Amino acid sequence: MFAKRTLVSRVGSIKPVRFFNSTSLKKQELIIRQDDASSPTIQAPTIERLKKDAGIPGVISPNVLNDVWFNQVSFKLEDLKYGMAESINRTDLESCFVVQSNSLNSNPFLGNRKSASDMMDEYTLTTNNKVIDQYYKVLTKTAKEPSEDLVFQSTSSIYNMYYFLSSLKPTNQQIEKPNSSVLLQTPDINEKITNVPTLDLVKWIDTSFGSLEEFKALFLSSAASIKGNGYTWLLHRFMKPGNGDTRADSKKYSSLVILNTYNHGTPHEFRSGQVSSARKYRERSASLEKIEKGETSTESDEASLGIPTIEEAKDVYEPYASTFEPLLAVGVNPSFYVRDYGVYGKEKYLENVWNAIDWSVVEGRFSLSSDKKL
Amino acid sequence: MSLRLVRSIHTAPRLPLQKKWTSEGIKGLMSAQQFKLSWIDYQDYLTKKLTLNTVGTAFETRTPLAITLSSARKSHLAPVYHYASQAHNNHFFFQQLKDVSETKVNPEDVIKPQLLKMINNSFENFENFKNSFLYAADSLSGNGWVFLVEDEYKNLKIIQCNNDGTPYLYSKNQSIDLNGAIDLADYEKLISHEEKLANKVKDYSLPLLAVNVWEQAYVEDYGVTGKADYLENFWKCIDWEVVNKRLFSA
Repeated sequence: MFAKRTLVSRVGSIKPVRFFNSTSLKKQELIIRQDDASSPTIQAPTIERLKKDAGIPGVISPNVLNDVWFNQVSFKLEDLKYGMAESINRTDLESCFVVQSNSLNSNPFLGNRKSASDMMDEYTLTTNNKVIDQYYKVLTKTAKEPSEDLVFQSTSSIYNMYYFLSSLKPTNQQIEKPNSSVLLQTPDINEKITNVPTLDLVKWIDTSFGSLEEFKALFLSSAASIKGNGYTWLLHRFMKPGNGDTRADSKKYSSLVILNTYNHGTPHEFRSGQVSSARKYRERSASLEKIEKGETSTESDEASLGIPTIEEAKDVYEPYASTFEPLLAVGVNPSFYVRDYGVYGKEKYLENVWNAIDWSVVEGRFSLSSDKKL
Repeated sequence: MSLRLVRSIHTAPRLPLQKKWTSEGIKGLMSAQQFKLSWIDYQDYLTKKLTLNTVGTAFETRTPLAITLSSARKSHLAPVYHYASQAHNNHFFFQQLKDVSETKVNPEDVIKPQLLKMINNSFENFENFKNSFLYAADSLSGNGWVFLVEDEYKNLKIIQCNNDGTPYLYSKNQSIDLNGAIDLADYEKLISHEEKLANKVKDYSLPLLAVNVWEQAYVEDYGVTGKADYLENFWKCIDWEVVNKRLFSA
């Protein structure tokens, strides 16, 4: 019988063979049970504005919202808990969900760091949502671990959806299914932009994209161009502070950027560089093999051991130098819109989403909002 | 002297049971509403978009499959490729469906011996084949297709295609999802595709069976988390006679 839940159907492929006889099995069970007693609570982020059976008026109907948020999130949360319980890095992953007590922060030299060793840690993004910060930590730990696929995917899908649905406010637009004639429509270039962002954001948009018109066109057509599942993000990119720095420097190369992620992809820079390091590893092992065999090492072999190619340099340096702070995401998974807007209605859906963006929420996520003078 | 101008457009094909399914849905698999979404509207959308993207080009008069094959290697034709590949895959999927009341309880009674033997050779037994096929579909984390293909050596294999992947060309199977962690095996596979393409290695795989795991194929009836139920029902609604005929016989 084929398993009803994805969760169950994955058991066979993920669970490692750990047990050889029944005694060791019992021991293992005992340990797991003790762990469970002290395990931290793994929860989904809540969005206060979203209510069951209410939908987001003017954007997403009640049935669809119940399905994609309330139902899907509890489903993914089960996957996440299961994936963490099965993970070989369980303790490390669970530590992301431990709530820090404030009394630890009394040392004036450490600021909001817990210990001196934290000063050596990579700079970490923080938001005003504790649960989202926990999810972010899980992402940093799993984004490059092929064995943590289930944890990464379930975390990332909740994380991404949070940035989408929590950025929307109710509107009085119509949710309707256009017919196929919309495929022949040309956009009206004289149309005035509705739901204009807050003044400070508009300033940033102007310097980063040229104008609000250009921004909206680029943002929405990036979203429309995603054919499968994915999100179009508005991110704030800034130079990653060096070790020990706690604050981002707002003046240095800081700008807003638009980025697409597909399936469970994450917009954060810590996932990048994987292909280039695989390439490097492969080239290195090929060169070493040649040297071991006693074959004369050619110039190109030597080069592959030292100076990176332009491709590698781009892969490695560009993303690492910047940090991407998520401000807004727009999801275009077919499950978000086909039931309400039909297959011809993606543009209509995106237009409705644009008009429902709560720009004050978006601006609130901007870490530089206090000193964002240009 | 006369001048004759001909223009062609792509249109959605009609299924043999289209009229019945439009009003009643496919019994045991999808409601009339779900059928309208994933076949009538979606196929119409794909073919109309294909027309808009191919008008005035050599692709204007070619079938979606022919367009898929000749655009698969050219990244600048990606927009054309998407609609052609999707139109072909979706048609391929709907052609092999039947109302549950019309299918046999035990598929092994309908599958022709030659095919059944191949299945047993490649997957040990039929139950194992079913589980592997549906597991491949269930574990595909985004949208896409899962195919059973017959390769040039008469072996059967299951291919996962992400998004608009096609089973006809190894470099366009799109079976690796690069959006999460990438391990060395994934990278090796990418490199081997590159090398095979450079050496002009051909792919003679032919698909026999497909399942559509794009969200629009099931969300209306099953919800976004109902994929496993949809897949169970799909298995009961396969018209194995169609699959039999797809097996290459010289």
